[in-house]
Amino acid sequence: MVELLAAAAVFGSITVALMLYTSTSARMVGRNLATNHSHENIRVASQRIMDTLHDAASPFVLVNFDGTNYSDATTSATADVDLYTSRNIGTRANGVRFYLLAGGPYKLTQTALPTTTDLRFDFSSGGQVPYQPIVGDRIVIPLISREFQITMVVTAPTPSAPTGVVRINDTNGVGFQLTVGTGNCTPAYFYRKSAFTVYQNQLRFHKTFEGAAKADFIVVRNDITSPKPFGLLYDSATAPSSDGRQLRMSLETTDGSYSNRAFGSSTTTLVGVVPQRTLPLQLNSTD
Amino acid sequence: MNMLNRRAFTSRLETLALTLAQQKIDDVLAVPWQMGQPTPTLLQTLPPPGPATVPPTADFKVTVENPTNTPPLPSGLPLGNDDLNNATGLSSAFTKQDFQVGAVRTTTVTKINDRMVRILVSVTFNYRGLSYSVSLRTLRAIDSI
Repeated sequence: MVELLAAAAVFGSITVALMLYTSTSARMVGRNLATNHSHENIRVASQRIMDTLHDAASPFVLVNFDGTNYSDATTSATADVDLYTSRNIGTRANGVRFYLLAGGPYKLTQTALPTTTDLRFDFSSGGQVPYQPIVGDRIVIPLISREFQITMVVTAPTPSAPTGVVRINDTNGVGFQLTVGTGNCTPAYFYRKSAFTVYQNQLRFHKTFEGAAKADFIVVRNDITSPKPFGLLYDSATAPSSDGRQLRMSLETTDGSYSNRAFGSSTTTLVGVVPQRTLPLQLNSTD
Repeated sequence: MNMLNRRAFTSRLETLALTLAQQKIDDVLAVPWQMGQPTPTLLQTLPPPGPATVPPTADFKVTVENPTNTPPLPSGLPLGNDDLNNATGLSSAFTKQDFQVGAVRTTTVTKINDRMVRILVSVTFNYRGLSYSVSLRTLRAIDSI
């Protein structure tokens, strides 16, 4: 009997020790996974965001998305001071939009008078048409330093007929005579609205942020837990407006599925300030 | 296992430090610099201090960003948890769960000639008794051709 009790005590002690060891190990493995998962999310998200925002051709505009509608956010300066730049942060939003270069340079193929509103371009490139203009895109014509918005695609280009016609928003016309012919070449660049939004724990990239296409997006990363990560920077708490040249993001991520144990230090928060790298900005308008 | 955790966390801090360095690189690359205009403050350099050296050393300027913050904020530029993200509507159930570490950002601008400077940005932080550093370098030329 004594031997049995002794054996049971020894066996019990070993079992408890093993359970403690495996429990601690499992917790440390889980914590390690949580750290790595949130880290991975931040790395991928930051690379994608910075790579894209550096190429932005226009000032940043904040956007609110409520699950149904996208609307431009009305922002103002707050008393919060960003330690990285010593500038004041504006009210936050869950989205940011901007223009990216979408196509060009494409050359004008029909002489335009100062009152012309329909411009004809050759959109071919190596026998293909890599860019299709849509309503809302912006045209920049460097020769006359003017930019317009496309209000109608009169003739859409195709690979077999790559010449397309677009209508500009200035009803007075292009403002200059742009002659096509020997020795004359008028190129134009085309820009399209894109956006990042955060909703339902997803960081989303909208390649085309225009019309019904706003609803189309790709998920850059999941497990984003900051509901409003984007803000613009202001010169002071009373500054009336922001120049839209620096976007502050405070992106927080936690692995909410695989290792969701809310371990200490399992959250990663990336604070960054990103400007456009193109100087001067290729587009002045944010519309 | 402890070592794995430490390395995972250090790696994460290095990513955040890299972003902090990148932000300064973005600043110096994006500041307008035109011929005939004063050199922007970010790109200004000073003659080397002390007696003239032979051969002369290049003009340079070192800027150290190491703000003293009100506790519990760590001294320096914070890596990790954003203390400006705690307000209702900005935070989540997981906010403030990441450990915050203070970093020192050092920017060295060295003059190459009147139209070009070299920039070195280093971000240094301490974690569990060890010092870590992340550096980025770039050249910046004047905008005017």
